[in-house]
Amino acid sequence: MKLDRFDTTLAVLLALSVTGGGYLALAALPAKVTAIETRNMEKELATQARLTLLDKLYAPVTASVQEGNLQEALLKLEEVNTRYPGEAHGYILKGEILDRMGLPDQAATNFVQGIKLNGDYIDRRSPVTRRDIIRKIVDTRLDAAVAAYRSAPGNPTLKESLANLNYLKSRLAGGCE
Amino acid sequence: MRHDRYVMTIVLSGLLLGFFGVMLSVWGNPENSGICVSCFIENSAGALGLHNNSRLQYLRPELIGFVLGAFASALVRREFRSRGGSAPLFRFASGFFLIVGCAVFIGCPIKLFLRFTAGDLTSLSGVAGLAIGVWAGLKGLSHGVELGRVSPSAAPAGSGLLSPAFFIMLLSFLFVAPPFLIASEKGSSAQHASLLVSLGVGLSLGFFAQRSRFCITGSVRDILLMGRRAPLLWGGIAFLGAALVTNLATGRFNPGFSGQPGAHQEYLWSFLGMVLVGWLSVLIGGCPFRQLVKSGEGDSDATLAVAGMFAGGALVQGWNLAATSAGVPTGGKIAVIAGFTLLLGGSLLFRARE
Repeated sequence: MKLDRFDTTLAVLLALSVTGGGYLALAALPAKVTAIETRNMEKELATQARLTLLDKLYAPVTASVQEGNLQEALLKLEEVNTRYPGEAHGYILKGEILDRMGLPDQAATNFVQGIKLNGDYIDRRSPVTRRDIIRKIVDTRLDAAVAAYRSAPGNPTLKESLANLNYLKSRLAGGCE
Repeated sequence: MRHDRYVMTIVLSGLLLGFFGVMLSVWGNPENSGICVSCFIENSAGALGLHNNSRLQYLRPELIGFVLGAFASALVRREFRSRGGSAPLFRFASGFFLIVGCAVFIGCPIKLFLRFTAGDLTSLSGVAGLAIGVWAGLKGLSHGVELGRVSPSAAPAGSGLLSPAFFIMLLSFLFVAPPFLIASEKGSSAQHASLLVSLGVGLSLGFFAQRSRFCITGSVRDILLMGRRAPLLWGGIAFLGAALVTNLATGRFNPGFSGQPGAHQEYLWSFLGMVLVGWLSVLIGGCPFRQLVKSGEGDSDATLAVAGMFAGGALVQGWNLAATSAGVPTGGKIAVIAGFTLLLGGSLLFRARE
């Protein structure tokens, strides 16, 4: 293939473009680092602000839990949940309280709802993670839930309990959501 | 007689584009942005959740109107034909870089001249860039750089309906907003004319633009090729005249280099952004506005360019490539150079040699 002057012009301009683009990209590296640091800081600020707000909103509930008044805690939680019905933290707290009350299946139902709204509660490195308590419920309840379902496969409550535990097990195992 | 009627249609299209381009700003759109296809694409991409700049999310009815107006005109005139099949990926990438060039300049070729006729002298570098870009594109064409012929047989019958169908779906979103549709409550996207006015203007401009084949880069191209004999010259003059008179009549003519709305003073990058837009437009057969109109008349190549434009509209915001009044971000400069790399590499690859 014979190259003419137009080809040569295009090739020279192409080389200039690649060189210029590469130079600009290298020159922009420090700005990129700053941008990443700024973005990380913004994320950290948002996380901290959320945690502070959640602590404040649910303070009466956690106070009752710490005093051992679990029924009272549930009532206070319902009040907060009425104001913020889509907040995952409410479901997670309810799950924790129900687990303390010895109702692991109901606890699992609430954990499932909370995690569907916000996957942070199952993430290993999240400051709000509840992996340990969720793993404990799955480990202790799953075999019994499978046996119960097999004994009465038409029972929708048993079916839902098993589905919830399987969902939590799947989320604990990781993978794509 | 037929020629005269064609020229009159072009002149009417230019007059409407210039008049409504300014009046939409009077009726609520951002200053000097009554019509800006690249801005509308960025806004609409944001409204569909494709980027998260909360100041630039609004499904612009004008955009929908352009495509559906052209669709209606093509149906009425029995010119709707499914066609395409020429260098689809290159056209997609070109659509992407059209928006990059526009975002670095801050505006599409229509807005370039709306800014100019409102006295924004910073746009002069863009005017020069667009003219040189079109000239470079013509040089390429004359040396055999072309993407291949658009062929009706290469496109399955009915494939050209996809674009109008997509925009009809978007039209339905305007009246029954789905939960995922986002609308800014602040920033330039919160500024808009009323829905019916915007849609009506968009439909009529799309209708006439399909009839006349009027587009800004097409006018520049024809003027460079044919001089005073170019019918699109009269459309261009009508557009500039109508925009200038309307700007003067509505008190929007403020000549100067500084303090202009939606403008920056990095002239080199304004120039290069518009060189990229002009050159790409010649290569793919029209500016962003023309691509929308062609996609409405069944051209699936233009539809791919429009898809690329939506990707560009999302990513110039998501990757912070778009210029603001503060200037052009480094990412935007790199993206413009990447656009030239595509253009020059593509020109070498697509050149027909004997």
